[in-house]
Order: sequence, then structure tokens, then C-alpha cells
Amino acid sequence: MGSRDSRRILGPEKSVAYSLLQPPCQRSFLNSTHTRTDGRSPADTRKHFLSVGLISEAKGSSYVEAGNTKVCCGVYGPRDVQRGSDFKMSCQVVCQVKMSPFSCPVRLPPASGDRDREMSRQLKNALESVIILDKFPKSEIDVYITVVEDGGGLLAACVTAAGLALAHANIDMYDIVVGASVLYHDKVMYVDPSRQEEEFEAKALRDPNNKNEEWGQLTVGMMPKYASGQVALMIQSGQMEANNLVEGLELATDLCTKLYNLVKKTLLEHVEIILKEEKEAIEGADT
Amino acid sequence: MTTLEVWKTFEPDNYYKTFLDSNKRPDGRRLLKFRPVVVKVGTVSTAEGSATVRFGHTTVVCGVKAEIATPTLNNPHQGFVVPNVELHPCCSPNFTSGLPGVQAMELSQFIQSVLTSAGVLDLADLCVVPSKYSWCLYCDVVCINYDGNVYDAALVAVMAALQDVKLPKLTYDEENDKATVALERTLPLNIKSRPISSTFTLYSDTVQLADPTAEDESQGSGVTTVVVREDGSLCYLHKPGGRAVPTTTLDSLVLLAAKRVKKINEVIAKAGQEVD
Repeated sequence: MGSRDSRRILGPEKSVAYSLLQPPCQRSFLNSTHTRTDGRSPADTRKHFLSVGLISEAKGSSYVEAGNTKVCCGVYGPRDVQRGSDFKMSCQVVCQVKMSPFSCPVRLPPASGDRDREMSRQLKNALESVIILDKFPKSEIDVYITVVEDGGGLLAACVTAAGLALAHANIDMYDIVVGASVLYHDKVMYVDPSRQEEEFEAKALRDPNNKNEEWGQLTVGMMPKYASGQVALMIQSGQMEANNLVEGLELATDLCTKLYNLVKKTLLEHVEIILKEEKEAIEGADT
Repeated sequence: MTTLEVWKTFEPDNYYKTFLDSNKRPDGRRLLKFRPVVVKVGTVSTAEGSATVRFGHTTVVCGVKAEIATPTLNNPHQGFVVPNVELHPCCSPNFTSGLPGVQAMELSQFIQSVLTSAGVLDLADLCVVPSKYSWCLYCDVVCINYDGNVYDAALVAVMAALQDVKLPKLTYDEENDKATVALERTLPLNIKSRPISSTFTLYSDTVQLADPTAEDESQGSGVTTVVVREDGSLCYLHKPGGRAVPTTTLDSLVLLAAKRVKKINEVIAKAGQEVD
């Protein structure tokens, strides 16, 4: 960092994560009983919780919790394009993902990092194929995401949150988009990986002695009901054989369908509450 | 659109004033009534201490991250506490992305001033080996939903998160000049005092609104924040310009704030017990 941030309260010039001074501990991908570290089987997903309407001033908002991953999403617009930007007949999507400084085991500096920008870009590209852009000419839709905690499968959670918030904001889409992530390790596919599992893979990538082991992660954002399933986003890292990729995509599709039903249920419950409130208001006015 | 919404859109000032004339606010509260407060601690597992606080619809999350730093030459026996408040465009359309705005800067400064003037932590407690190793506590507050009065919510979140902090033990081997940190987090912080703030929006000379919502804030013409410690002593009073207040009014606001301290501290303590 060249210039010091003058708008925030600054701590000491240098501070390090205390984990550097901790004795190194050997971790294995599976625990002693050959199950995943959190006790799941390879095909098990984490617990998910979805809700809508937590940001009062936003057009649409959502909160998604997958295991320890917690993200909230706010959608604003469609509104006039800000002056100075290029004129376009179709809608422009602005995406911004912001990781909270405390969302990872090592503190992140509060200014936007590379990961924030990378995820914003990926999410923007995905949402541009989900929103019916021609419906909102000359306007802009803002999708903001705050990451409270990264517990693994972050991009997938962001995609689900964005899809749910866009639906809550009544923005026309081809279908609701949901995200899922799959991890490939030692010839087995693990659905919905946690951060510990992802970190293990990231370490394997850096280790130069570990050339033989195949591993990889696949994140998919898809619209399950649009033309019998359309993929809006697919990001693969690491190395997998092509047929493994196909298998991973199938597993991710299954998870997406499950999540899609959950999203639908959340929205239905929300509508029921609104209808109930309206009914009570009318009855209250009558009496 | 209902008639009420039309009225609110076209004559917001008149709409709002009509509520105040009958001693009520649009959300149904009386003028000096505070919103219900919900505190949950330990909500972020990646932080050493964390808390989520709701004041009505206003929601903030505070996470405390501990790192190791070298004490400065000026204060070789002291650690660091660094509070920062982030108001992202996600929480309200009034904020822009990029560098923190004036309001976020003001909030960060407010939290820091309160922590210092109330003497919440003794910075010497955070120093483990003088001139070599000390803890640096980064207290980052992120606003999830902005509906007014982030002052109080942020301070409650910081206080609850600090009370939730557990640090690992740092041992220093003088012969080899090497420090090691234990794997288990066991040590709580020594919290010296527990200040709680109460914010009032000034609407007119006679009307003050406790715990303002975003709408109250936009209609009012000035704020006053009173911070009182748990023993009832006033430790910080913040009145940045705006409408002038008579001293008698200020006295009554301080009394109101003092009454509230015990209640909020009980809520925080209860949230802490639920986790243990």
C-alpha cells in the first residue's frame, strides 16, 4: 500500500495474524473415521437458511446462510443511469461484493481487495444473463452484497442471495438463479464444501511436491426451470478430468434444484405473510 | 398506493408533523420511547469476538479480530484498539461505494472517543512483552440495515463483541527470543467499564426524539448523543452543531440516558450467558 488511508482509524503500521506464531498442526482432509471434518458424507449438503426483506430501504433484499457462510444482499433500482457513463439501450447491472474485515480467519484490510473485485465481476457476468435486460432500457440495477462470514462456497452463496433478492425486488428474470459448489479431492466428489476443505485444497495447490493428486473446485450458478436448466455461471479451478467435470456438474445441478425449491418456499412464505397482513389491515379498517 | 403513502410522498413534512402533534411517531412510538434491542453474541465464528445488534430495523454486526503488533516507541507498554465503522451502499441508498463517507468517519471517531474516554480497556493489559509483542484489537462494525441511530447500535455491538472476545495465550521464550501462541482461545478481556450511549434527534425546542429512525433523522435538525457508564457517570456528550438546546433539556436527556444504561447492559450480559 503506497498511500495510507486517511479516512479510517489506523492501527499500528504492521500487525500479523497470531496464527503465524501457533505451532503448526497437521490436518487431513478426512477425519479419523473417514468422514468429512464436519461429519457429513460426500453427498451431504450443509444446513441452509434463507430469508428476505431484512434491508428496509432496499427494493429487494435477502440473507443467505449456508453452514458458516453468511451473506446479505441488497438490490436497488432499476434507476436512471448515473451521468457520465455510457448510454445503452439495455439495462446495466452494477455488482459489488464486499467482504467484511472479520469474515476470514485472517483479517482483511477494509478497502476492497482483489477477491472482492473478482467476485463482483463474476457475479455481474452471471446476473447479466439472468435479468431480462431489454425490459429496463437506459437504466441501472445495483446489486450489493455484504459478506459477514466466509465459511466456504462463498461465490455460490452470493449467487443464491442475488437471485433471491432480485426476485424480492420484482425484477424480471428468465428464472431465479441459484448457486452451488462441488469439490473434487482424491477421486471423490464432495458437495457443498466448507472453508476448511477449500483451504486444504488451496494448500495442496501451493505445495510443489504434491503433483500427482488431482483436485479441483467447481462453482455453478444455474436457472433450473428455464428451458430445462440453463447454466449462467460456471467456474472451475484446479485440475480435473473432463468426465469428472461432467459428474461434478450433475452433482451441482442436483444441489441447485434442492436450493431452488428452498428459494421458492422462502418467497411463498414471504408472500403469505404480506397477504395475511393486508387482510388484517382491511379487516381492521372495516371494524 | 394508499392515500397515506400519497400524502407521505407529496407532503413529507406535513405528514410527519401531524404525527408529532398527537405525540406519536409514524412507527407508533411515543417521542421519548426507545426501540426494542436485540443482542446476539458469537455470531461470526472467524472473529475472536463478535456480536449482532438490532435496534428496531437497524442491524449492525461487530467483529473483533486480534492480531499481533509491536508496541510503538512512545508507548512500549501498550497494545492497540482500532475501531472502524463501515456503511456500505448495501445497507441504505444514501451511501456510496469507495472510501468511507463523512458519516462513517464520524461514527468511527465517536466509537474511538468513547472507548478512550470511558476507559473501557486498559491498553497496558493488551501488551504481553513490552516493546516486542502486544495485541491489536481491530473492532470492525459493518452496518447491514440502516434505519437510523447507528451511533447507539454500533457502540452496543462493539461493547458486546469486546465482552465476547477470547484470546489465545501468548508465551515468550526469552532465551531463544521466540513467542508462541496457544491453539485454544481461553483469555477474556478485562473490561473496565461498560458505557452505553443514547441518541436523541432534536426536532424543535420542545420536541426531542429518542432513538431516531432514518425518517426521524431526516426530519430533525440536529442530534445529541449522551454516553453514560454503568456507574451512572457521564463520560461523553456529543452534540455536533444543529439546533441549539436549552441546558435544562440537556439535563433531562442525560437523566433519561442514565436510566437506560442498566437495562442495555443487562441485555448484553444475558446474550453473553446464552452462548456459555
